[in-house]
Formats: sequence, C-alpha cells, structure tokens
Amino acid sequence: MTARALLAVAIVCSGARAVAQAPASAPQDAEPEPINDSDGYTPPAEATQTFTVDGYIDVGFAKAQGNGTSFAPGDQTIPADYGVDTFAPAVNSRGDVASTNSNGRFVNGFLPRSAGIGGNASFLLNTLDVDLKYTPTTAPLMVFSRVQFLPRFTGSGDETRVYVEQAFGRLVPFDSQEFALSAGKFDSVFGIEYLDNEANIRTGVTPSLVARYTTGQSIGVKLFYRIQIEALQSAVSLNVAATNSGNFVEALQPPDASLTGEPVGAGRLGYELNTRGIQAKLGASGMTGPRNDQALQAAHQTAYGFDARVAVAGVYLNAEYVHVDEGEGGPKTTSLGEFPISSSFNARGGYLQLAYALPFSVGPLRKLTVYGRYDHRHAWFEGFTPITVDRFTGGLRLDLWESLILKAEYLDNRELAGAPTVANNVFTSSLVYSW
Amino acid sequence: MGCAALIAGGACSQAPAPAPAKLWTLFDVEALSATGATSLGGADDGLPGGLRLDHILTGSSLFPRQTFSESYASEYVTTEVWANYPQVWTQPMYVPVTGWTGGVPQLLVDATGVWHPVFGVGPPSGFYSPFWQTIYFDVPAGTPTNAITSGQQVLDGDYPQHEGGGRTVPIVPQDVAAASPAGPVAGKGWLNGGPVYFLDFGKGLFGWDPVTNVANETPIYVFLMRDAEGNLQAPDIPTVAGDGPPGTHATSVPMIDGLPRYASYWRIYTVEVPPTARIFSPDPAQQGALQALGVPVVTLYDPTVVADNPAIVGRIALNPSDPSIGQAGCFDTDDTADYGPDNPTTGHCLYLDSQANVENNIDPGAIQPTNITVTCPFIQYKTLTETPIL
Repeated sequence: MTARALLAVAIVCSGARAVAQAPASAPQDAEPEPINDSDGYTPPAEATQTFTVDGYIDVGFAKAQGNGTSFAPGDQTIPADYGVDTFAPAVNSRGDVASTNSNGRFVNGFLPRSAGIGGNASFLLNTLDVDLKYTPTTAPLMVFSRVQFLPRFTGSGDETRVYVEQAFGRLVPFDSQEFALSAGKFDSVFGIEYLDNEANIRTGVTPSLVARYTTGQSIGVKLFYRIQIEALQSAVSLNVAATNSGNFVEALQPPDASLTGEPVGAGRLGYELNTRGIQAKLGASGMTGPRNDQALQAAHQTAYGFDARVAVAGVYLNAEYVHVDEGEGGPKTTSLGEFPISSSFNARGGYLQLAYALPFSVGPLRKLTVYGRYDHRHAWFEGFTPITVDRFTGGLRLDLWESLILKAEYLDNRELAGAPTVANNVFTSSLVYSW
Repeated sequence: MGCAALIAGGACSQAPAPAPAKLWTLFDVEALSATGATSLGGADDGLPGGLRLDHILTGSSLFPRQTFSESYASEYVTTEVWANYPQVWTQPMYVPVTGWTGGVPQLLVDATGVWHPVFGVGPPSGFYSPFWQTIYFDVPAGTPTNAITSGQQVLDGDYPQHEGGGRTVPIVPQDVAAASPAGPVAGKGWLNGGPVYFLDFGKGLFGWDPVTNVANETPIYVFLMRDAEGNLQAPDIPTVAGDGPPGTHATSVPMIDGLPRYASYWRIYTVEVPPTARIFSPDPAQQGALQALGVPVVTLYDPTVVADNPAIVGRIALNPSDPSIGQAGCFDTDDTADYGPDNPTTGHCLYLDSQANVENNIDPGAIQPTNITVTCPFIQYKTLTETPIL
C-alpha cells in the first residue's frame, strides 16, 4: 500500500468523511475516487496497480444488560418481536445484537442477526473482511468483491457464515464525466449511513436505530452521476439503483433474489459544498417497490429520508431522518427464515451524531475522537401498540498508527412509549485491524 | 439475460405467489356488508362459494348457524375467519385481581361488579385472536378499573402475575356486543389505552401448545355436491361439528357444568358426498335453492315422515329414497328415517351428522382441509343454551 493510500485510509478512519470531493477539472489533486460513490468506502486504487487485496479484522468485546434481548420478562404477546425493538441491544458495526432468543415465544421475522452472547460479557470476532479489487489498465472498469467471515455462537454451537457482502463491476465510460454504471451486489444508495457500514470506517461501533432500513446491500444495477459547479464550490449528485430488495438489511429482506419479480427503485439526490472552512453534504433519498420479504407485487414499501453531513473545525455532524411504510403482503421470507405473515408496518426515525477529533498526535496515537449520537424511532405494526424508543450513545475512538482503531461506547436504550421497559443497555468495544 | 432486463418486455414470469394470510373480524364483516359484498373467502381458499356474510352477521346480530354434533342439532355463531393461516396463536389477556381466596382469583370489578380485562393485541392486527391465555396480575384493592388500560402498563408495573386458563373472548363492534345472543356475556375491556367491547364465551373451549402458543384445531365439515356439469357446489345446509382432531373418529367432547363443551376454533373441511347421497329437504323453498345450484334433489316425501321427523331436515343420507325415480330408501318410513345414533331399524338412514359418521362412511380422499379456519363458539346444544364457564 502506498503512502497515498495510507493517507487516504487515515483520512477516512479519522472521522473526516465529510471532506470535499474533487472538482472534475482537477482530478490529479482529488481525494481518491471512491469505489461506490462514497468517501472512505474502500481503500483507493493505485493507478498502476491492477489487483489489490485489502480488508480488516474487527474484534469486539461487549456486555449487554439483562439477557441481551429487548424481550420483556412476563410479556406473552405474540409475536414477541412486534412490541419491542429487537435491534436495540446492538454490539457491533453490523448491527448484530447480543441475543434474539425469545425462549420459545413465536417471532415473526422482525429480527436482527445475533451475536449469541446473551447477557454475558464476551469477546467477539465480529468480522473478518477480505476485499479484492481488480482494475484493468485497458478498460474503464473496476471489479470489486467483499467477502466476510462471521463466526457466531448460535445457541447450539459455533458457526461461521461466509457472506458475500458486495460483488460488482463498475464502468466509467466517459473520462470527462463523473458518471458510473455498476452492476452486481453493492451498497445502498439511500441516505448516508451505509457509508459507515464497515467497522474500519464507522466512527463509532454500532449503527443507528434506523440503519436497518437504509444500509442493506442488494443485487441490481446502479447509476451515479455528479456534476461539479466550481463557481459555487459545489457539486450535485444523483445516485439511483434498481435492486432486488432496496435498502433494508439482509436480516429483514433477502437481497439475493427478487421474490416478486419486480425490482425496487431507490435513489438519492445530493448537494455538496466544499470550501476550505466547511464541508457540507445534504441529500434527499427515496425508495419504492414491492417489499422483498414476500411474493406479492402489490405489497409495496416506500421510504424517504433526508440527510446532512457537515464538517467544520474538527467537528463532524451527521444527521438523518427516515420515513418507512410497508404494506401488508403474503407469507414472509427473510434471510433468517420463513414466517407466516408480512404485516403492514410503519416507522419514522432518525439520529443526530456529533464527533470531534482532537487535533494532536503522540507516538502511535494519530487521532482521538469523542462522539455521541442520539437516536429516536417510532414504529408500529398494524394492530399493535406503536412503540417509541430512543437511544443515547457515547463513545471514544483511538486511531493508532495507520492500521489500528480502538473504539468503545455505551448505548443507553430507552423505551419511551408502547414497549415495556427492559434492561437492554449495552457496553461494547471494537478493535479493528486493517491491511 | 437477467430478469430485470426482461421486465419491460413482460417476459418475466414468476411462480404463483403464495396466497396471503387474511383475517376477518366482525369489524371487517360489518364493513364488507356495508359495501354490498355477500361473502368472504372462496374457491382459492378451498371453499367453493366462500362464507356468506349474512351467515355471520345479520345487521348487528350474530347469525345462529345450525350444525350437527354427535347427531344432534346445535347452533354456533361465527366471530372470526382466517384464510391461509397455518396456525393461530393465543394471546395474553391481563386480568387485574385484588386477591386470591382458596386459589380463586378475586377480580377487580367496578362499582357495578363488572370486570374489565386488558387485551394484549386487538384488531386489525393479523396476529389478533379471540383465544386468550388469562394472565392475572395482582393490584391493590381499590385500584380504579380504568387505571391500567394497556399491556405496557401491566408489564411496566411489575405486578405479580399468575398464569390462568384459556378463554374465548372476541373483541367485537359495540353494536354487536349490545345485540349479544343468549349465552355469551358482553363486556368492555381495554386495549392500548382505549376501551373495546367483547363477547365472553368463557373458558374451556380450546387448548393450545404451551411452548408455541398455537391454538388447537378441530374439524368442522362443510358438504359439497356435484351439479350436472360436475362442478362442486356447497348447498346451504347445516355443517357438522367435530368432536376431536381429524381422523380420530371422535364421538364425544368434555362435559363441564352439565353441558358438552365444543371447541371454538375450527378448521373447515370439505366433504364431497357420494353422488347417490341426498339431503332430506321436504321444504319447497329449500328444494328450490338446491335445484338452483343444480344438485340432485328429492322432491317427493311421505307427508307422515316429514311431519314426524322435523329434526332430520338438512341432513344428508347416504342411502336415501327418491320416489320420483322409483328408488326405495331410508326416507320411506318413520323408523328408517329416524336420526337416532343407535337406530336399530334395518335400512335406517346413514346420516352424515357427526364426525364419526363422516369419517366412518366417507372415503378419506373426499375429506379435504381448506385454508379457512373460524371462531365458532356454540351457543346452543340441542335445546340447551351453552352457558359460558366464567
């Protein structure tokens, strides 16, 4: 990896992800072009290198309150996952929770992946990530794959899932334009939190309470176009995709096949302001199409959202609002299994995150970042009591050398209305090695 | 070429989507009736013709549907219909109690002595069901009956809980509760902080798996006959209520407080009767309805047999007589037409009027489960009102 590449990694890992995109007219001075239209998404390519192997290892240590779930003792309502927020006790950047064990109570597939640690303090190997990238010198093409190994305790033994999170080719047909066509399995185009999916990029450890709706990868085709407006130190971008499952995480909607035969459309219109003193990115996103956890084309899901990222004087602000509606459909299938009913569902929520990177470097310490996030989520299944929850997250991040990150954070989950109060706060930490 | 690329050309084909699960409560039946609809469910759910709305609600009144159980005429009402639900689950019904006397809960009641349960789930959720597991929770004496009105309050209150039995209590529109037939007890409870109205059919009408909370099913039989074109038709005649699980040839149900306690949760099974079977249908109007369906009808009856056997009207006999075509059979005499389950008369009618008679006399291949299940608590057995076990 070259010095330029290492610099880029340091930038993206420092929380400075809101920095400027390069003007099209001065590509030689630009930040490395992101693979997936995002800054900091993967290590950048070298002009002369056609094949790279990158990746990271995310080792965690976490302890959740209670039994590691959001299920309340004494609650016998069926399904168990409709009246609580099962995603609240997250322990890693993937959104895996400490546990989803309902002790035999019926659940209907509104569940995240589980780390299987319950309420025990435990070390975790959250992710072993291997990225392969090939850039031929003879074509404006880039091929990328991201394969992840996910060792988990299932309750009845250990199991390592091999997950192809991304695999796509990207064509940039015009040298003079920021115009790219991608096909394969790629990141979401909705909002901004997908940019932080990977543990080696995310400022903190855990995703927000609305990440489940916006950060999922899926298979399809994507078009990205950005035009620079130099006079205004600005750019406007459009990122649209047609995929099997839209932007829901794979635990909620399987991305690897269309269950309805009709693609889900999604897109984001973005504006960027890139000045020396302030960088800002604003966006509006939308998604519509059949819900891909069932087979009826008439069962639609729609979502829209707004996002903002501002970086000024070492302070980084990320904020996002998401509005999701799903219609009732047929029998439900998620990546976790089959369930009898896909109920009508609605959610509104968002988060506000502030991070401050202290500008000093001592020995191996390259950067110290303190961060906090507030999440709020209001959601309901048809016929069930709407639940309102929120979460305060506070954490600290150390960037050591150029390839090691240590993060620790505390999640204070609160049930504000509709859901029974349950002890489901989490302490979690993450040690990320990148190469 | 990928499927997405073919969509524009309409060339993409998918396997038929599985039928969606549907639940109709009495709120839905009222709304459907107001639109002029006449039935729900149908051939796609395995039940030709579906279920007539006016056999569920007539105005605000539950329709007393005739059935035969253990060969006797009975009546039930229908309060929920599910289509394409492989199973239905019990839900928690929280009941505040102020104490226990000899193991008997002392219910928290209002000034008029009425209790008000708190329901965990209600319509229009697809997971609502009227099959509740009673969860008693201890509150101090004097607690206002409107102080705890949601499941969240119960759980957040950390009240001591005690698991109780199952109870069939449909949540119904207020006007339906007000027009309750004899038998169930109308009442008012709480759901998500607001009032709801219910009909209490009492305890002992269903069982469930304590691990999965899945309610047990019992078969109820609907008869099909073929018309001249060979199409299956569902004549408007009484059903047959089963006594036990399918295939068990069950012949009785538990007796509690002097009454047989039939199930309240049923899966509809269709029974295609043999082409020689006939309905005992001396009433001209009923004959007309059957003829309109195109199914075979006996039109000539001995007046004495008709006068002496009103209880056999609507039953299907496997060995009928039909004087109009010179066929002798069991409708010819009082003795042979009698429906008594132990009728000793040679040549007596083989009526399909009990689960045992159906399963003993019909090819199993002609008995098919539908995708429809129903809440149908009995309100009458023979001439006795089914008084709920409260």
